[in-house]
Amino acid sequence: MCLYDAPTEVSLRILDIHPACEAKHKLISMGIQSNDILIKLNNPNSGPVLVQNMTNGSSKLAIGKKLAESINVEQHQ
Amino acid sequence: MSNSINKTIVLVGQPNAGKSTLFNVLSDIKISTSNFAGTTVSLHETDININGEIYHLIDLPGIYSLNPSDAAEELTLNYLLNKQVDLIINVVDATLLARSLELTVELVELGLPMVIALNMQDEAEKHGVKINNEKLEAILNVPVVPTIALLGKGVKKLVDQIYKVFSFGKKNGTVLEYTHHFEKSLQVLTEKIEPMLGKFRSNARFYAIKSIENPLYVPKSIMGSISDLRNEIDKENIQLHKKDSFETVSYERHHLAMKLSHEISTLIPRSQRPFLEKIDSYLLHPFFGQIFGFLFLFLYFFTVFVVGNFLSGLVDVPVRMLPELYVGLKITQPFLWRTVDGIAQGLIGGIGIVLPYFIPLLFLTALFEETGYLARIAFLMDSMFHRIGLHGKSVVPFIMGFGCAVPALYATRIMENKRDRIITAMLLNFIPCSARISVIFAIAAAFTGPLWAIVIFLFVGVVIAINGRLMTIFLSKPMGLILEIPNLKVPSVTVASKKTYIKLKDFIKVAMPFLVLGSIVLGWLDYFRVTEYINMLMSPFITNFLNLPEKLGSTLVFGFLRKELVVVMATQAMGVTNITGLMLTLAQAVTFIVFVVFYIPCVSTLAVLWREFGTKVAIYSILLTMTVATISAYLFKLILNI
Repeated sequence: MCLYDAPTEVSLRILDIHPACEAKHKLISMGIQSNDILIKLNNPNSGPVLVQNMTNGSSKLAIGKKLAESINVEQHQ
Repeated sequence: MSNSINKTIVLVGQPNAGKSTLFNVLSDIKISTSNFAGTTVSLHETDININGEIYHLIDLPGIYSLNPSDAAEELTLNYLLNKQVDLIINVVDATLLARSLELTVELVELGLPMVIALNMQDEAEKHGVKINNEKLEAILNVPVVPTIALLGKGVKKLVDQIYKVFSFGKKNGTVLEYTHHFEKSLQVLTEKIEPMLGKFRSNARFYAIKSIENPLYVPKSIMGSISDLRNEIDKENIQLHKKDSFETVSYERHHLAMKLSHEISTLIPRSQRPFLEKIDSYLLHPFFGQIFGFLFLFLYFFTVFVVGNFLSGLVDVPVRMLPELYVGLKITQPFLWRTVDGIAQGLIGGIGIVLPYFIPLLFLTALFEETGYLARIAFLMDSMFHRIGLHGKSVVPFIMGFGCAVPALYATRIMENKRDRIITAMLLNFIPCSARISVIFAIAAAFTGPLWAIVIFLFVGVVIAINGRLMTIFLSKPMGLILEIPNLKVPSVTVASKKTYIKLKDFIKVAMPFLVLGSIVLGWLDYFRVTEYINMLMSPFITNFLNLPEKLGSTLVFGFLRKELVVVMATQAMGVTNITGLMLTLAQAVTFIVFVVFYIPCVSTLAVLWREFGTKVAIYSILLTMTVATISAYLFKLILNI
């Protein structure tokens, strides 16, 4: 499933970022990498998704809808 | 000991790591810092004295990795690759250890002498992470100094460490090894690059890594000789990892940093959820966050208005008395009277009209920037900004624009996309800067009351929305928001006061002479009756079209130099000592404010627009602002004269 549609407040593992995503390099530089564990903090109707990368530390990242749709994740046990 | 400057120290770190705060502490000059990615978007430099030796210290813009994705990051990488750098102080955010260490790993690969300032370790401990500095130092073979830059803690040790590095020889760090397969490829490339290095400052291994990861930053002469080999490695990577080379190298580095982070840190019990984290969940809430955001902005400007009015009242009486001191000259020596009056009116305008609103605005903005709330507003407003064809990151330059358009224009460098940068820059011309806010508040306080100030601010929002929509309607959609939301911080009143003091000093040094000089020139022009010609020339527009007093025409010409001049010149042109003496009707006051808010950017803003975006954008900005100012002012005139 894509990050945008993923459930909130559960651990999510990043599978990959769609190769056509124009901001792929930026996302990677900002710590969004395959296999990292994220927690999605909000479930927006149209705005950006708010995530916390549990692998990296305490800061949060806001990711626009279109970009969040290009990040594939799975629920992590 | 020699006192000549021959060593350059650069501060490098990820955004929000605390570089600018550390720079402030290390140097005597204080620069603008805020808890938002991309505060430092241009170079800030100073000379520092360590034990009698003078060093050149540079604060480079924050960079997430040595693969830049915006203009500010590009500046940092180009500086590191092409300029003289004798020591890097890598400012590491201890609360984001693993991610920050990715940049550290890259900087070590760069092969320049380095000291690590491990900042905000106290915050990391609050979040349950304890870091072993000695272990990090041993693994990377780089001195590590724990710091709390905001409180100035650890800075003395850092300075001692810098001195030691220069006195007892510089150490290059130990590069960490990637996986065996990747290391083999790197070795072949490094050997091939080594004899070609020549004039280039970096080392062969760094270029070998970059040639695989991001060949854009490898000199063409090197890339030309290794491109076949590099392409082979690229193909292998894709076959083996099912990822492109950029992702493969980033992934490898990510894991090195993670491993390093695990080795040097231990988890400690976290007593309770920090208070600010609890507040943050409300600030970022889709409903409460929006309500709080609007309430906050309303209170912000309302406070400036109320405090400004109070301060204005305090200085009003002595300011009114000043012209009486030289009134005798008016008949005996009219030219001298014009000159002295010019000086006095300039001072009166600056102290009596502009400063009362400018001071609270500067102080509140400084407090506000420190908290990290700016990024939260950008997040909350992203959806709204999409409706006008932009995204949340534009909010940041817009809010900075309420202070001054010049740093706000530089702040557009944090945007990855040129389209977004140009549109944001052009719309920035409509944001009233502190000088124009002073004009709004001063005239509103004298003639219209605060309600009209609110109406004008709302109208500014409408103008930005319409122009943004019109400009972006035919363009492709923006790339989308990627924005770090840093941890909330309690602002320091001391830091905010210092920042206010520095900006105020700057205003008195730079703007006051302009106000006084402009005022003298206006006095002389009036004496030689030149203003009459200017006013006559502008009369069809000012009097017939906008229904304003003819004498206000020449003041608008001065406003091009600095916006504060408009109100100072207006009082002088009308021959009054107090703004209420202008005798404007409500319709005239509002029409005048609206025109001043939107018309042509000041000369400094235009210069930056031209330098950052080129002649076309600067000319379009002039045409757009003049058109919008004319239409808007005429609309208000029509409505208020019904």
